[in-house]
Amino acid sequence: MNEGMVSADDGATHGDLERSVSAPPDQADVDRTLSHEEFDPKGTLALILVYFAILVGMWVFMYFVEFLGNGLTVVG
Amino acid sequence: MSTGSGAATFVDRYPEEASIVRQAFFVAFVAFGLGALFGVIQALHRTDILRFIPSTDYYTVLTAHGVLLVIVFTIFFLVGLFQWAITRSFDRPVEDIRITKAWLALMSVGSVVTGVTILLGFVDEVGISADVLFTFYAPLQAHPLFYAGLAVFLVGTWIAGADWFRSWLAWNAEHPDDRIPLQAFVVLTTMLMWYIATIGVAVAVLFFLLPWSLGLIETVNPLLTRTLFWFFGHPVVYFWLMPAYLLWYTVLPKIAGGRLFSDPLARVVFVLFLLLSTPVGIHHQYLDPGIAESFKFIAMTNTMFLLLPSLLTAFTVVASVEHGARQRGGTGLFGWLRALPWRDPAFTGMMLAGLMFAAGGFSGMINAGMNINYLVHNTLWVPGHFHLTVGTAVALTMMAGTYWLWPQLTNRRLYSRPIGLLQVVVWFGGMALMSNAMHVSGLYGIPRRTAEPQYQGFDFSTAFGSVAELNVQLAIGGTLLFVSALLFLANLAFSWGNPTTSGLGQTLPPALSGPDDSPRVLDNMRLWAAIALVLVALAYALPLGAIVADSGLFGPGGDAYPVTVVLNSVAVTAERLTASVGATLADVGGVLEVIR
Amino acid sequence: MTGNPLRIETSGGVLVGFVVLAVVVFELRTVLGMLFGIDVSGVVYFPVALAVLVGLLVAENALRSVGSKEG
Repeated sequence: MNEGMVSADDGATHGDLERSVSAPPDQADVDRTLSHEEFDPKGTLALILVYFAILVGMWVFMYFVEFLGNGLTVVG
Repeated sequence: MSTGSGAATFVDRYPEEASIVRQAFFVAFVAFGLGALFGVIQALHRTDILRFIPSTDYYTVLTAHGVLLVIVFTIFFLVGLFQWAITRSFDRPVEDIRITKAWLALMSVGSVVTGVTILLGFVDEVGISADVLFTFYAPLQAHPLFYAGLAVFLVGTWIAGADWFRSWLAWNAEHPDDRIPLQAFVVLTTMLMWYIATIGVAVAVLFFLLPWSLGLIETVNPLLTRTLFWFFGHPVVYFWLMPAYLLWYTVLPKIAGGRLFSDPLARVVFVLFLLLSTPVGIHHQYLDPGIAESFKFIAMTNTMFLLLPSLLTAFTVVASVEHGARQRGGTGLFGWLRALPWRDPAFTGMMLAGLMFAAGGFSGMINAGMNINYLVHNTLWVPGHFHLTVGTAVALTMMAGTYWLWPQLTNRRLYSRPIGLLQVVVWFGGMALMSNAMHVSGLYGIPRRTAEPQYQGFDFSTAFGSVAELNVQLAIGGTLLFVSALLFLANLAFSWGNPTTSGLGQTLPPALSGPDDSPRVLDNMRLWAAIALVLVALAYALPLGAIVADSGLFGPGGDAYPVTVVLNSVAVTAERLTASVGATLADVGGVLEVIR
Repeated sequence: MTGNPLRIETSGGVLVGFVVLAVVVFELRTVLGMLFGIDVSGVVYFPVALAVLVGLLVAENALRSVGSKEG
């Protein structure tokens, strides 16, 4: 299924260069060129906001539930 | 548009330097294979799934695992990568190949001496051992050869740094008005950090631990050697990380089909690491009595500032990858992720490594908090944390980077890219299992550095699931990681059998926002080194002074512990530990109390 | 998608996406246990989670082959 599809594509582009059935050595070819002005990394911002939300949530849990929520450990 | 495919490779242009890089990588990967083997032995042993070594040999295994992976593997990969980066980005051969060969030889000899000394711990008849763990401070004592090997290794890295600074000076003489290329900039700032960091470990080894091990001095001050170790022990984690960052900043954007978003931002990040990596080491000693709370607070503040360059990196690197995705036709707020070259093991490996680093950032924040640290200190949480950072962000990036670098260094193709992809994915999955189990176990209070963390008359209570289940998770994860390591090494070994091919060369595209957009002061190495030294002096002068004033340079006395535990005298050893080291190791004593 | 053969969603992309999703699903049990105190038995959770993931993979594959026939 998928395997066949992939190697067929490779055959058309880079198949003769590879001994193994695998991806082409360089997949960095591009469709269009984006300059610094044309590129607005809003996807990056979205990912970082998601990460930040997870970070805050987990920290609040660790601090208020795990750390403050557990009683003192008295040794001896 | 094909970015430079078919150009001359690094080995075409600099055959001698490429040979040095290959040799350094070879040592790194031998150490990696051995270290991975010791890793899976521990994972199976401490979870009581499979125990085929006596528990008394556990610390030999643990020491070998730690030292081989975080000293030999990471640093040999680093010097190989940095040599490539310096030669490539200055576009000039080394000034004197004999010097380059000399430092590589010194590092190798030192590593072999230290490595063999550790491994002799398995052979009781010889009477030589170094079961002191990677954190080799007193009262644990190793055979003198362990310290001697380390010292030789360190001198090798210092000469390597000097070699690269010499290249910079020579290049600078010919290009007085040019900005330092970014890759060289990373190497130079990282090596400045290394010179400052290794002051601590060099003093600890040469003035205290080695003479003590040789019997020239009777005692050492355990808190002093601990503090000197951590003076080195935190910046060394950034020393491991900087090669990964070098690959993320300069290679990853290219294989994603894009360009680095901002060269100036990258320079700021590396300067911040130079400034802030060292004056934070005391955050490893939050539970050490003998260091005033105020000094710990300063270390915590500096540590929190150190989050900044990592967050800047998250932004810059992800934005560069997004740039690649959009150039490849990606659209949408998250849809661009689908346009990335996920089939490429170099790309996927680095991205998964970055994802794991984000998770490691969270547990690192917990470790760094002065109060919340009490929750996880000396528990399995901590190994869970650093297997995400050095064990994945660094190690997986190094493996992924190798997949990309391999043709550049050998003119040979990789044996199999699908196996490479499988390898990085298995590492990711295995680490998710193992690290999750470690973090959760740590929250339940299960200790680290313990061969048999099960005790009579005491059970760890769990919020969900069971300890047995966590153990199985940890063991499966560790086994997957070992399989992944074998896949990596086998793939490389088979690649060596590939015929040489021409036209495999790749070039790295310039940044979207180039170095000329940043002030020249960023390239002023003297200035940053001076500020870094001042910060270190501010953070360490008073605590070190206080430690020496309290109990002297050589401490109040006490026994050394060459951890050659006689099987049925573990309890006696524990008694002696608590009794004589007393104050310094009170936290260890506390754990022992709980166990009883 | 576009005419560039390098840009199709490859089996590599599906593999990586699947593994990342599997890790997220795996961690969800920890979140349930630690954050919400819901103790789901691993003997139940893991087989069910695996079945759901495999189901998703099969569904994705079926959808994709339909899509490529239409395209």
